[in-house]
Amino acid sequence: MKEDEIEKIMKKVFKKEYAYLETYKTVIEEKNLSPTELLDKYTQLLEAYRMLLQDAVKITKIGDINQKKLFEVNEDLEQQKQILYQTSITDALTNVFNRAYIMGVLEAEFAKSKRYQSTFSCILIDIDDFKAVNDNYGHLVGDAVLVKTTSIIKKQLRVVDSFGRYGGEEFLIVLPATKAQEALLVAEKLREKIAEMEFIEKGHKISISISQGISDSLTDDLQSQDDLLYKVDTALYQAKKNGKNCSVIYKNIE
Amino acid sequence: MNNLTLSPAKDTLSVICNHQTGVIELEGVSYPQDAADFFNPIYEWLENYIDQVGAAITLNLRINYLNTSSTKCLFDFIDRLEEYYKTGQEVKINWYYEQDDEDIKETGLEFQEDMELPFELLSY
Repeated sequence: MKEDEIEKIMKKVFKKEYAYLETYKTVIEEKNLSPTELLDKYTQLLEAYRMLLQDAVKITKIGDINQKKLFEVNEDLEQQKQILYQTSITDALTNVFNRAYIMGVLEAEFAKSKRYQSTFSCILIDIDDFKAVNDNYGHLVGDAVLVKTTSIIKKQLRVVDSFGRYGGEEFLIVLPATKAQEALLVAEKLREKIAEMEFIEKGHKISISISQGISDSLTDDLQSQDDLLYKVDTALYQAKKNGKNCSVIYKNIE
Repeated sequence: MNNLTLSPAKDTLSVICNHQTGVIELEGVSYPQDAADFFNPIYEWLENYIDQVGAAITLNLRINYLNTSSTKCLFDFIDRLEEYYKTGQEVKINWYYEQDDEDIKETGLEFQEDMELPFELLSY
């Protein structure tokens, strides 16, 4: 809003006070006022000033209260925004990134690798025979197995790695600045950790294993991140064909 | 004389002035660009009520937020009610605030201070 418009509005808001100003500034110009009349005008002016000061103090106090309230509401909104953002990128069950977010990470990493000729790797993980866990022990136990598995995997990864739920019992890891052979070391460590874990859920001892497909971005035939996903998916399929509980690099498939 | 009803907007209060009951209800938030323009019809309604009806007035305030200009306008409105009260008329103000809303309670206390007419703070 323009300065003159603001002033016009303020003149309306302080109409009463501007009127006082008009009334009492004439006192100076009137030369013939008697001391009694002058005292009378002075008393009126003093009262008007007292009222104005009283209002000014109250308005300032109320202004401060409202300003504080606004800041508190703003802080609260910021917190809610953070919670909402975290919820929107997190898988509600396992607390790792959800599919939409991990796909976004993959897309960004792919673009970066094209732009800077850098290498990154992907590992696609599938829990072997997970359907049997659900069928034999129920979905609640199946959910608990998913939570424990993801928690073990998360602990083994670097801060720079991103880990998300790709679908049901499939998970995707994006490892920046990592070649397939290095990703294989990570994958094997994960596989061993999972294989040696014994899940005890509601009195049931459950052992599980994982199969993994690995590929890096070091190939010329990648047009998009979907091509890389195709490769890790094919490698994972091969790992299942090889008897599960193993890790396969795409370029090693014959 | 007519009743005055203004629907609430994003930045203005909901207003209901009933000349039959003498009850004025102001509710919501007030931070319009031109607070004087918003409050003008309410001042006018009050002057008409005082001239034409001249009976008791109850002002119910359920305020959530007031910017500084609106605070000044509400002060002037209450000042006019106080003048009316000093002529021997029955006038009272009820300031409603949510039980946990200390800020609105404090704002009400500021309005209440130095007030000669009955001004009650009521939590809900």
